[in-house]
Amino acid sequence: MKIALIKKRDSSFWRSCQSITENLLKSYERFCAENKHQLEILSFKSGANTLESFDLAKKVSREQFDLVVWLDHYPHPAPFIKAFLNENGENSKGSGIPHFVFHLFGDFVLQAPLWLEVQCALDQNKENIPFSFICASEKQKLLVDSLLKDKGNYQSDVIPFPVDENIFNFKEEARLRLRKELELSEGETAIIYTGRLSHQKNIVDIIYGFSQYQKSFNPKAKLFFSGPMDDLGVPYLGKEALDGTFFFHWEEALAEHENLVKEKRIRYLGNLNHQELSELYCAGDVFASLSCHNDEDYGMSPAEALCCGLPCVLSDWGGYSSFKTYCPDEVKLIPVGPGETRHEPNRTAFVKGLVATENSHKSEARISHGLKGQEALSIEAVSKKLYSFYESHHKKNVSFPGFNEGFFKLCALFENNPKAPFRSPTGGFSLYYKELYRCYWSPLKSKGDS
Amino acid sequence: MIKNSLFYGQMANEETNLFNRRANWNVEDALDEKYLEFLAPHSRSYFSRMRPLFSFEIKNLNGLNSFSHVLFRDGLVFLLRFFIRYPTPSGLKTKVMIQKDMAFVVPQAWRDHCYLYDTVLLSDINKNDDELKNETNLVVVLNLHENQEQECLKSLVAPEVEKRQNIYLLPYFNQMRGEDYLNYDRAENLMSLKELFSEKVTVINASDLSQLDGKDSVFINANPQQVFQSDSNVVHSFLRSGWKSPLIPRAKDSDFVVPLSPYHGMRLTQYELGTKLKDLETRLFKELNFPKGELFKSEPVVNRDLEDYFKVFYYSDDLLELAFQLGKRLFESKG
Repeated sequence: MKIALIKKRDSSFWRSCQSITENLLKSYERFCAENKHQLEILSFKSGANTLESFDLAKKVSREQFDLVVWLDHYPHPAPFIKAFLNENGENSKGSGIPHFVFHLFGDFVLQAPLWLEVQCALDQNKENIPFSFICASEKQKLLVDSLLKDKGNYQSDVIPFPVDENIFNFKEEARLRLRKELELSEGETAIIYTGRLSHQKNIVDIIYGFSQYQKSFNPKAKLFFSGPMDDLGVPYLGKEALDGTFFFHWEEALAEHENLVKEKRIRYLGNLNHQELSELYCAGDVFASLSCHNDEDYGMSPAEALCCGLPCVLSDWGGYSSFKTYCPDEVKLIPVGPGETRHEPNRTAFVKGLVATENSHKSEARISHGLKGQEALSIEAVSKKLYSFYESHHKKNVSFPGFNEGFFKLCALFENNPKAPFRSPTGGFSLYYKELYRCYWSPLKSKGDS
Repeated sequence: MIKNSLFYGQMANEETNLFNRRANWNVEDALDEKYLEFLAPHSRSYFSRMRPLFSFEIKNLNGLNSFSHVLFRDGLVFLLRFFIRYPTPSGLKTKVMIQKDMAFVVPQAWRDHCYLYDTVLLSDINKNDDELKNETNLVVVLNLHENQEQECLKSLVAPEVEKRQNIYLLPYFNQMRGEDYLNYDRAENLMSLKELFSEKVTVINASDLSQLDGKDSVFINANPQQVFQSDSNVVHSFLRSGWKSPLIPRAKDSDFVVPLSPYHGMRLTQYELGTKLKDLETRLFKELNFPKGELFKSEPVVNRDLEDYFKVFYYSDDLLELAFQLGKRLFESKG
């Protein structure tokens, strides 16, 4: 096959997406090298404006690719698709049209109006264009599929975002060294959170839950946070926060647990690079995250932690739930309840989850768990999943069925009130939002369930 | 004595939250819009227990009595103008925080009402000063205003430029809208780029900062004369992200500091005029008879009913020129 990978020239402004795109690229390179596919990477500047999209579309048409893969979350491919369809016009009937594949990120819902533009362009073209969505997790797939017309067997697919196994793997010497630096004795349990520290990440719930756990079950436990703080409020409710707001809430939460801060049982380590993060996972005993962020389609932090053999206690929300499928013994999921203005992870269950994860450290077990995580999530593993996907899809050549009425309503909500599309008349989440995201907070049905 | 209870606790938190709901007590008008826009992005609001605002945003002085304290983000011209408007505190009970370099502008009647602040790095999480010297990247935030003294800019920035491998310029070409401010002679501002920096400079946008490793970088906000603002959200934004600046001092254990992020905070002290500022105080109060002298009697009337942005003026050209002069002397006094 002749494959075009389209990505932005510069890396994303969104930190996790920087790793995702880079690692996906490596997975594709491996997949192509192993299967003797011809790969060309097409890059565009940050904006992919109309003119640039036009030039890109011309090139894609000219080169007669079998497969065109859109690898970035931003900018949206709508201008490119419109330009491509316009370029091909009458020529789009029959052969010469590549199979378009889009890796979806957490901002799929946010970009709904742009996908509607794609829909309209496809409708005008009046031709069946082979078109696939690849989601990062099972729950994202459920959400996306709920917005598609039910035409035959069309469904989006799931391929997790890859983790670089050369960086994220368990190393005993890193564990020993960093634990010494962090003043952690071997008997002390180190609970790790990494990623953005933000309102929707429920950092305060982690602090409160940890406090209960440390007081009632494990006086020797310590909690470490790493990552940038940001002030994303609740965008879907129009709740914007001033710069510096999250730090205020962080301080207030820590003030209620002053003794833990004084004893250095809760520490903030700042922003770490990949190597430093890997070492932190090696030094830790449990990874914990109770995120209920609306764009949590996946979770690079828990993925990286699992590849380092670190057991995880995670909210049963969005992309996190899939990690239980990949690493059933290493992941505990905490139920989430739908709230009026925020989704609430069950704090009691979180404490129980921490207790259940307690285990004295064994290097061999960590290496083995890490390999288990890598079997599902590494660049190598994902390259194999890409092989399976393209083997099955390329032969099927399934055309895109289009979006359903629910999706049109979604787009209208964004158009009418772009700053608060899901705000109910009383200021909380609307019923539409709760229905749309029901699949995110409901437990995944196992394959045996009806 | 500066008390913790001013900034922490339920009552303080309630006041801070009320303060941030500006639409409820301080609706933005054309005058605010004009100068906030001119100073953007430095003037962007941010959350702080210190309750920061520009003094030109105040419509009713006694309205500030809802709050135990506020912080003025002003540079010299706005602070001068404030004290011309309000030479005494009158019925005001609120404590006002002024950037410590501006202490010489505060009239005697106000000094008991004022605390002084400056921005500091917190020690725990930040690298020590020796490690700061090894950072390879320098980002210079350039604020290119018309009358900015190129010599001040050069003195401020040149020593750091020499130490670093990679120099990045993040320029803001602040320009007010309207015919009164149209000035085609901006080549001088751009010439300063050529004079100050060699070919090793890369001009960047704010969106390019994510490509730089904050751990291997330092920044300078090139605002030597502090004419328009003394407290910038651009600076806070860098510091919040873990960047360091060689121009920002480190807090000592004995300092009273209100953290704004894990990396930085505001250090507060009681009002005291440092010896280096006494000459400036003499110039302003004794020589120029601030705020009641002849020089200060021609300021535009502050008419907050005017909705036309283009008809709103807050300070005269004379006051602005004075602010630049004082700013130059202020910078030189720091040595």
